[in-house]
Amino acid sequence: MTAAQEAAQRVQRKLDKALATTLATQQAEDRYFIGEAILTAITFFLLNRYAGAYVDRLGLKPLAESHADKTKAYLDRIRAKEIAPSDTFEQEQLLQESVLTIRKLGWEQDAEQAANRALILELTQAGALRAQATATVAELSAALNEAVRKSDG
Amino acid sequence: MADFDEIERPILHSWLSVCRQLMFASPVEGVMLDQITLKGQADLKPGWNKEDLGPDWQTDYLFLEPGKHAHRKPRLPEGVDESSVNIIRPVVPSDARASELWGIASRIAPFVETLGPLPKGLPSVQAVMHSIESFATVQRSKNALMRSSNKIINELFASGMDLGDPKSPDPAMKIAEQYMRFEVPGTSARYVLSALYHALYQEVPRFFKKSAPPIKRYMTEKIEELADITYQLATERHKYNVSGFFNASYLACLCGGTVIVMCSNEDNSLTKMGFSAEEYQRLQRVRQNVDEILAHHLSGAFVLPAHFVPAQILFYVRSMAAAQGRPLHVVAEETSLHPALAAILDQPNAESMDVNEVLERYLTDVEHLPHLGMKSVLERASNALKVKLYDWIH
Repeated sequence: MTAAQEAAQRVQRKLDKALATTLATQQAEDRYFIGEAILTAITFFLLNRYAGAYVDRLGLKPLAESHADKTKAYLDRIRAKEIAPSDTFEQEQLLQESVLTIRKLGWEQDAEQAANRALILELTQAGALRAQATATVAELSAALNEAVRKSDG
Repeated sequence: MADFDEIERPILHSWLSVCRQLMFASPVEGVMLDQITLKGQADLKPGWNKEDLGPDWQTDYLFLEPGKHAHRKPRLPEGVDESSVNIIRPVVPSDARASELWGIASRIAPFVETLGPLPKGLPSVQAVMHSIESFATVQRSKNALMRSSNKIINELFASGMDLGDPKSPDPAMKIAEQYMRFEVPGTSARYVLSALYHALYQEVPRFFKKSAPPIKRYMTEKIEELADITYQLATERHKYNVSGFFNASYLACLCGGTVIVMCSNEDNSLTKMGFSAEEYQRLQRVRQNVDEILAHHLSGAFVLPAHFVPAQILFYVRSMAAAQGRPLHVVAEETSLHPALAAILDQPNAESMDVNEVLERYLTDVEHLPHLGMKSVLERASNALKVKLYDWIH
């Protein structure tokens, strides 16, 4: 199992289904009995958004922008109920690449805090509750940190 | 006398669960949701279904794809022909007193009275039964809500509340207390709280501070505080004993329900307050999020303990998991079991434990957990619930 897969498993176990539904639906009036496939997809979306915000802070602007484009397109497909297993596999690879990039540059507190702030803001703007966004981002940060450390060994 | 955990008196726990199920929204809604939870919607078919509950309810379209997923929308997607939709008409009861739930409450209430004092803060068994009975026929119509809300607000202001005095009782806390004491059903309490915040925050710039921010700022802050406490109560409840778990779930239903009413834009109220399209859209997402928390974590918490003793609840969860081919812990989470009860499912001898053994185990496992009585749970949510008009004015 790759470090990215392990991080995703860890986050998915604790991911709040109400938040996942809020992110995965096209319209705010929609209600979704969320299944495993969508939960996995939202997990990779969140981890990649977090990794993107993190590498942005490390000064890797082009990588961060490409990351943002890919994850945004992925979210659009989730919302349109058009994701295929290959899309999720692509996101998994994207996350694994980020883990390896961060490993080379090292884990930095400043980048972590900036990524935390960016993701909390992004999630609350998307409809997350403040306490829910804070708890979710703390879990994303811990999972990515662990993935970087594990890939180090 | 120190407050006790309601599970120490299993009949009391059953009775309180019935009361919560009947009052977290309204008695008729409680009965209807109870039946849907236990018996399901038999008429649902694969594809699009239209749920028609009558003129006072929102019509929903439910898409079912067996083995894959289901979702619910207020409108049919483009290209789907209305005539191809399967129509289901769940029966909304006209009088909750004709229900099995009311039957259970009536049967066990005399026994509960003989067990000694109720948990702190609750009125007498008879007063609770009388209160629930007085709302047994209230339907979810605007007129009915207005009538019951006006009565509550008039009583509130007749009690001589001074909104400019920081020591005067906060009106929102009074409503929440009445709800916790089963004196007001959740549907009315949410509506009253929403009306109260709106009416009072409107007065801040008009009478007290000419330079005060617009009302939408106070309303947004209140919505966010209430949404946060809904989430916090739903997640923190797991660390408390049985009373704590269910008191937190019950109060979270009120806080979350109030968010839903405040974000509903009925009569264009949000538009009139000057919310931009972007701000409005965000509030709708917050509403969706809270609605999901209520639907999947909170409002289903009272059904099983209202009908079954702990051993029967475990049997129900095991049967559902086997019938649906789903993991036990997923079904336990969806049915909002107290974590100590859910943990018994993992015991190697769980299936052979009898009624007394399950109860004994449950009691032992919750014994060391902190208590969260009615007063403490209200205190926990007080910052979110309070109008805090005095703070805004000064």
